[in-house]
Parts: sequence; C-alpha cells; structure tokens
Amino acid sequence: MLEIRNLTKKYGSKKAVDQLSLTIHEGEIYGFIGHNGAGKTTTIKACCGIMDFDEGEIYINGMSVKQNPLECKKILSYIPDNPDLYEFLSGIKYLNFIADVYGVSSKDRNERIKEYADMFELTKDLAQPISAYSHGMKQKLAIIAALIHKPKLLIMDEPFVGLDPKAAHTVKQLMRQLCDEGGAIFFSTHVLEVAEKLCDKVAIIKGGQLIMEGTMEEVKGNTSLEDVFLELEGENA
Amino acid sequence: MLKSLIKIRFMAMFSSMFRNSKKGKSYGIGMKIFMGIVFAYILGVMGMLFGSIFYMMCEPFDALGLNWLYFALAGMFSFAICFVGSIFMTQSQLYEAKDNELLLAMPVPPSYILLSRMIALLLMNYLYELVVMIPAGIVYVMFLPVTAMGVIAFLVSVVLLPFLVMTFSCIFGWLVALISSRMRRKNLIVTIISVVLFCGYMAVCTQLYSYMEALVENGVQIGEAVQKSIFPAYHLGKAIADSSVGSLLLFVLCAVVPFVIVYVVLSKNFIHIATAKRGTVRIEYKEKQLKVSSGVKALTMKDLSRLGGNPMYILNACTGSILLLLAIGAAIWKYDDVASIIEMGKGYMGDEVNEVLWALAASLFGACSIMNIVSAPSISLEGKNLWILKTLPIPSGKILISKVWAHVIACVPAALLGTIVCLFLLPFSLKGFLMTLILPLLVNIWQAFFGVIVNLFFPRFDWVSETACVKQGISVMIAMFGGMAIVAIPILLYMFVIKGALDLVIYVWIWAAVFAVLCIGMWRYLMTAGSRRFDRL
Repeated sequence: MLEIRNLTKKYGSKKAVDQLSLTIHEGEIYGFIGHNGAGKTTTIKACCGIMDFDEGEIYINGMSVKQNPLECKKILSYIPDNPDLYEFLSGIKYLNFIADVYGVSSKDRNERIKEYADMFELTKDLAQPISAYSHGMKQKLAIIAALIHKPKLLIMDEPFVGLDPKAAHTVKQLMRQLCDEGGAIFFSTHVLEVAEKLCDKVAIIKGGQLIMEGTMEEVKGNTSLEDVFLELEGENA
Repeated sequence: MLKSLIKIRFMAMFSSMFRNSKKGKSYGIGMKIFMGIVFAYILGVMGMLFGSIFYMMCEPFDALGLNWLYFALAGMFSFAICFVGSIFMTQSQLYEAKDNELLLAMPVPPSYILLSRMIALLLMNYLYELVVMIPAGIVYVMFLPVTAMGVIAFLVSVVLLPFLVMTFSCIFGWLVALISSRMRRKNLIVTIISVVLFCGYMAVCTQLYSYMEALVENGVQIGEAVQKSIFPAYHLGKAIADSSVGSLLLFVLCAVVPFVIVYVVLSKNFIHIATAKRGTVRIEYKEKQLKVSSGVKALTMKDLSRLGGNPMYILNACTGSILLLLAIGAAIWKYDDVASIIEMGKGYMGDEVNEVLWALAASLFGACSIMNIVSAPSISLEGKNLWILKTLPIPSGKILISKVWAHVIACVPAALLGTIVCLFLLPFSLKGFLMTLILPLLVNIWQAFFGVIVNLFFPRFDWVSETACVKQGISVMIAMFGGMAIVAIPILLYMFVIKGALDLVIYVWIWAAVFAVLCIGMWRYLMTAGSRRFDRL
C-alpha cells in the first residue's frame, strides 16, 4: 500500500530524512516512532504529497507520489499533529466541503457523517463554528473528515493528542476496522504503550535514519517497546 | 521586562510589514522603498485632504474670534479617525490576542502585558493623529500668528490626545467583544453595521465641502454647542489658540485621568478579561440532507464563507463594490440631476451623448471595480490551513481558479446591478449597454487574476489575525495600487496622447479587448507556472 524507497529530504545542508526505506502492506497498522526532530513529520508530509523531497521515491498503491500526486491523494487521508481547520466554517460545513472535494455521493456522506459523528459524540455540535470547538473536538472533526471518503491509506501524525480516553479508544477501533477491510495505516506517536498494543509493525527513526524496523515481536522481543526505544536512543547518542 | 514586552510587540508589528514570511528574511531594499513610497502617498493624500479642510476654516474662524474652535475641531477629527482606525485593533490586540495565555502563564505582571499592548496601539494612534494635526498646525502657522505657549499647548495636546482615544477604544473594544460574542449572527450584524458606517463615512466625504461651508457659516452656534457639550475639545482648542494654561491643565486631566483609571481597572481584571469565555450562543445541529457540489464550487464557496464571515475583509476588499452601490443609490436618489445632465448633453451633442454617457458609466464602474481586492490576500489567508488544500485531490490550478471565482462572484453583482439601473436612467444604446456590461466584468476578472498572482509572489502565512492579513499584506497594497496604475494607463493615454483623436467608445472597446487578452494570459499562467509556484509554498 505504501512503499518508501531511499527517501532523502534536506533543509539546506542538513538531512532531515536520510535514505529512509520502508514498506506497509494492506491490513497493517504501522507505527513510526522517534524523538522530537527525528524526521517523522517530514517523512509523513512527503508521503502525503505536501512536501517535496530531494531523493528517493514514494509509491502509494503502486503509484508514484511525485508522478501521480492527485491519484495518490484520492486514496489517502492525512491527519496532522495540530488540527488547524477552517474556523469560519461550522463543523458540518467543513465535513460537507471535504465530501464535495473528494466527490463523495450524497447518500454516502450523509450516512458516514451521521455514523462517525455519533461515534465521537459530536453530532449536536456540528452546527457550531469550528472556532468554538476545543482542541479535542477539532481533532475528532479532523478524524471524521479523514474517514469520510473511505481512504485506503490513513496517514496520521500524533493522532491521539488532545483526545479523551473514550475518543482515543474509538479511534483505535476505527483504525483496526479500516485495516481489517483491506486498508493500511501509517502513524507517528510518542505514546509507546499505544504503539505496542496497536501496531502490527513498527519503525524507529533517529536523525533522519531508520535504525530499526519490523513486526512488533521482532522489534521488542521479550522486553517492552519503551526499553528497546530507550536502549537504541542511548546506543546512537 | 516591560522593555522586552514592548520590543517583542514592535518586532511583531514590523516583521509583519517588512519580512517575507515564507523565506523568513527581510524584504530587499527595493521593496522597502516601494512600501515607503506607498505609505507616504497614502499619508500625503490624507494630509492634503485635511489640509484643504483646515484651509477653509482657518481665516473665517479667526474673523469670528473662534480660533479655539479650529483646534477643537482638529482634535475632534483626530479623535474620530484614531477611534475608527483602532477600535477593532484594540479588541483583537487587547482582549483576543493569541498570545495572551502564553504570556499570562509566565511570571510577567498582567499590567506589563497590558501596557506593552497599549503602547503599540498608541503608536498606531499617533500615526493616524499626525495625518490630521500636522496639516492643522501648518495651515494655522501659515496664516495666523502663534505664541510659544500656544506651540507648547499644541505639542502637549498632540502627545496626550491618543490617550483619550485609548480610553474610549478600550471600553468600546471590550463592549464590542462582549456583545458580539453573545449574538447568534454576529458576523452578519457586524458586517451590516460596518458597511452602514462606511457608507455614512463616504456620504460625509462626498458632501464634505458643503458641510464645511455650513460649519463656517454657523461657527458661532457650533462653537457654543462644542463649549457646552464637548468639554475636552473646548479646552484643547482654548489651550492652543488662546494660550490658556488653565485650559491646558484641564485638557491634560481629561486625557490622563480616565486613561489611568481604565488602565488600573483593566490591569486588575486583565486575567479575567483575557481568559474569559464570553459565552457563545450554542447552535444545536439538526440533521438534514447535505447539498452536493463540485470540488471547485466547494472551494469557491469556502472562500466566500471566509469573506462573508469577516466584516473587515468585506470593507477592505470590496471597497469598489460598496462605492459602486453608493453611486447607484445616489444616481437614483438624485435622478433629476442625472436627467438635467442628459438634457444638457443632448443640447451639445445630440443623440451621440447616449453612447458617451454609457461609456462614462462603464468607465466609472470599471474604476470602482479595480478597487476590489478580494483575491489579493486569499492565499495568505489560508495560513495554517494551507495543509488542507495541499492534501486535497484537486489540481493546484483549480484551487487558484476557485479563488478567482470567489472574487468575481463577490464583486460582479454590484457592477451588474449598476448596468441594470443604467438601463432605466440613461437613454438606451445597445453598444453602450454591452460596454457597461462587459468592461466592469473584465476589470473584475482582471483584478481577480491579478490579485491571486500577486499573492502567489508575496504570500505571508504568519499573520496574527485575519484583519492584519487583509489590511497590512504587501500583496493587498500591490493589487490595489498596481490595479489603479494599470487603469490609469488608458485614461492618461487618452487624455495626453490620443487627445480625443479616437472615438471614446471605440477606445474603451480596444482596452476591453486588451484586458480580455491579459486575463487569458493570467489564466494560462495560473494553470501552469502559477500552479507550480503554489505547490512550492
């Protein structure tokens, strides 16, 4: 579903991402962990086609993000670490806007908005302007908007920040459901317990380079993901 | 600590004007000179306007022995221009500033935070004030003798008048924030009130000289009224014109004491005011069938929602359309005058006057349309939301074209309405009607494309409020003055080169064709190189 080959992104002379390669298959929840400034967000933005990169290639469902950005965007959804949405729109107008842009049919959008908004207990607030939403409500709205066109690939940057425990649980269920239906998820997180419980595969990035990757069992063995992460951070310091 | 707070506020103000937000570098010297010239031009024009008003008042008031009224009016004009110019800024800078909570979490006394913001606002008020007070002072010195005490009183008044303005704008800004947060359709209401105020302001400007004549004729009565009811203005005038130390002291007290009281009260309650949730009207969602639109239409409607939701955006970006609506209203209101002009024209030119009148209407509508700049800040306004556009499966060219559409949809109806009204007011001429229909449309389309292209070259995404983005963006200034310069080319050519050698109607058609070709060129640019530039933002 997502294949990153030798991705390199430079800011001036500094390499934010250096020769990074990884592959995510259908049905996989893939966690991406690393310290602040390790290159997670840069990698994620490059996958979404919103950041140009210097070397390498990214393929989504076999299509190159560089050559075919629009076709790639049609089947993926991106949720940023900070849900900056159009504050002058109401929640429902924002969702309808996103549905229009992705060409979601009237029947599907009505059904999905109802389903997801009920799930996140946001239905009653949909007429409110987004400017009146709390951080968590904006995050929920961003998640609903991301799911409205039934993406095959969901790319998320710190998706659990700002969510209450119930909403976080709902998101985890939706993530598993999307993968069970043949989709794939690539997300970054600092919450290692969540990654450990939720992910099928995990990659650890440091200084823009991938320092470990594999299934959760391969990566953590008999210890915890936290131990592995801290040990690797120490080794490479 | 206070010094650091003031420094950071001034850095924010100047960086928003002189720094390229994308590259994080200062603009080049050429751009700074250009911006300086534009600012000097605006201040110069306003100064000349006020200078001419004071020129009309100076000697007549002196003859009536009402020299104090001259300065009292100067003070009142200053107060009005500072108050109108700063009230919304006061609201957003003091009570709704984005960094209030950040600063309040630091070991900084709230009184320092408040003072640093007030000093920045005071500086802005001084700029507004000097546009009125400098011409008032110069005109007075040119025609009448002055005393040393009068000069001192003038300088003290200039320094202290903005404190009085701040007192009022702090109170009104707080009231506006409080009331607007409790209204259901607050944006609509604020927009309507702002447009009505703007229309009133324009109506006063167009009748300014007749009002000034009335002012001079009725100076004694007006003087008595000011003396009785506007205490600080009276003493400001007396202090400067009559060198009255007592009046100067009274004015100083009027300016300083309320300011200190407001400052102390706000300081004590700043945490409460700045962090209070002022209680919004809760609107509960009722499920209904959602309308389906195309991607471009959805993007266009999104931009129009942003425009409709921000009164400052409407007032600053649709100025041409508002003026045009005012002109239409005035033409209907004063139809007798229009009819007599038509008759007079027929006397000189016969039926040929029909086409000339239509050509003039087309030119007026076109000139108004060039003042619309809806598209000029439209990319900058995406700000932190730019990621949404970047992740959508829509070609960049179409995103840019949706911004052109939003401009056209917002601005063309006023020109169309004008054309329809002309059908009733002017003798019919098919050629003239078509010209009046097409020329303003082309100018609006031109301005829509031009605004987007200028904003592509001068985007800035680090604005602190939409109002600042719309009012202070370099792309807005370039679109406005660049557009005016471009319209001035055909007008100047006709006046000084063609000199009537070519029929006016044919000449207007030729320029309409030129604009059409330029629009096609700009459309082509947006779909190709412009899209690539947008992708790199």
